Amino acid sequence: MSKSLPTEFVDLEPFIDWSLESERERNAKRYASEMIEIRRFHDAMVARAEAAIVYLDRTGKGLENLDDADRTLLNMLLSLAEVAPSVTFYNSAQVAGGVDPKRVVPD
Amino acid sequence: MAIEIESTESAAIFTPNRFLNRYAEQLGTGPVPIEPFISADYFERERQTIFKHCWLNIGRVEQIPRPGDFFTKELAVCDANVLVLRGRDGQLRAFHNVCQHRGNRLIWERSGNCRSRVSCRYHGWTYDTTGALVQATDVKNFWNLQPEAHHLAPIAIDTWKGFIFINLEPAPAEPLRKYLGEIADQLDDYPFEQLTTCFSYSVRERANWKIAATSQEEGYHVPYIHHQSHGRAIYSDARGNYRSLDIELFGRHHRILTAPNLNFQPSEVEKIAGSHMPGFVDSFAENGSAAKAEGQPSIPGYYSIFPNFHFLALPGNYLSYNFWPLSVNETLWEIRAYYPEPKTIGERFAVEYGRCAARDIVSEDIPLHEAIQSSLRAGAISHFTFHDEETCCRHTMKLVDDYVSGCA
Repeated sequence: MSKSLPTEFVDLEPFIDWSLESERERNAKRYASEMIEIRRFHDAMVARAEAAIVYLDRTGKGLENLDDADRTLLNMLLSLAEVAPSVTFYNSAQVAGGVDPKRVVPD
Repeated sequence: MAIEIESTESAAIFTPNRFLNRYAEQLGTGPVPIEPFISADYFERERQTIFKHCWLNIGRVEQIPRPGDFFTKELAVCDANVLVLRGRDGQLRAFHNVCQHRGNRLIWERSGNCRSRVSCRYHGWTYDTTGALVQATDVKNFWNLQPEAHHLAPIAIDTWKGFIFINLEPAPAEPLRKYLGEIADQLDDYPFEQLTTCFSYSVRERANWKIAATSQEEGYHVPYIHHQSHGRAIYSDARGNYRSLDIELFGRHHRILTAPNLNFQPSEVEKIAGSHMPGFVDSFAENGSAAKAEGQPSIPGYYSIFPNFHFLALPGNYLSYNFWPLSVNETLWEIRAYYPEPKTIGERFAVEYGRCAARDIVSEDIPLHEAIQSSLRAGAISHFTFHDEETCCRHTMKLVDDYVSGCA
């Protein structure tokens, strides 16, 4: 089943590939992306982040009971958190001079 | 904590050697030899005199809230596999994770719930949650077996502020609270119990545990290796030099108070995240976060609990580090970021940003630790020369040496 966004956020459709369930998947996509793609996603998402937060909170479903489209949007917000260091800190997909992220293992 | 941010600009912060002037008599002022980082003999003595002797943090109470909950932990440095178990009576206990029949490992899972009994998979010996042997299979075929002589081997356990500590000494020299001493008083009001959402990472580093640990207990490096990340939010003077608000030694332990960068410019994402919850990077800066953590200390403090447990207590969240020696040249660094349970989408977003930022900042450090270890092994440097802001590194090295040489 292909992913879809809430109708209010269809403008973010071109970036729907960033909707990924786990931190490992989001981190892997960041590391596999060119900085220009990361910046495009970051800028589009930053512009809509506050609206997305307000929208998802307004449903009142809580974090656990979001429907599929809402969850797709939330995971895109979490990808924004993932790529933020690339844009704010490093101007690079990678942590500058950093260790291979596969060695930093989440429990 | 009565420390004025404004004092950041006061003359005291520019006094040369302000910490070593205070601690020179206790710590010495000379170069520190590198042998303790690379000598297998020294490492063996650390194992015997420090890790089998001191109180060691191995978890938090939230990991095992219900009766029968347990976790196990391999502590290679202590030659022990430890079972921490909450009994049917609600009591926390720790045991060597070893069946008392033939010495097999009792529980092989890292965590779980055993209800009321634990059975060894080798011959089926079964223990209750107090560690008592309640069934030896085919018991009549043992020659006069005394169940009470086959109780699981207990390990001393105690908690402080929800942190679980164990001690491998059969009779620890002092209780945990006395071992922690005055540094615990500094954290009486810190709400660890409210910060229960935990993201954890671990990394196997090709570096001695003291390279990893001492690299974290100084801020001198922050404007350099971390200048792009949280270095942005931490105070440096007009020449770009890092200056702590204060460094204080408390017996075996110590604390560094960090001064904020009053001119911190949060990024777009940091502004959004910080409007929902104090985050990681912005927590360092007084103006960093619009969301204030009620009743929490506003000064970030880096605390080192000897020998291998550190945490960075920030307003609204904290980061903890455990440095587990695997060999003289290898360390398992456990990194945990703790937040309040996010109730809203904005909070969930803020927590994710904090977690990703903390992970990336730690990732900046790791290659340096490994390069340093390799340089030391090459014999390319004979001593470390510690700066005044590296006084805590000097403290740790002095403590380790005191233990290893029997003077602690």
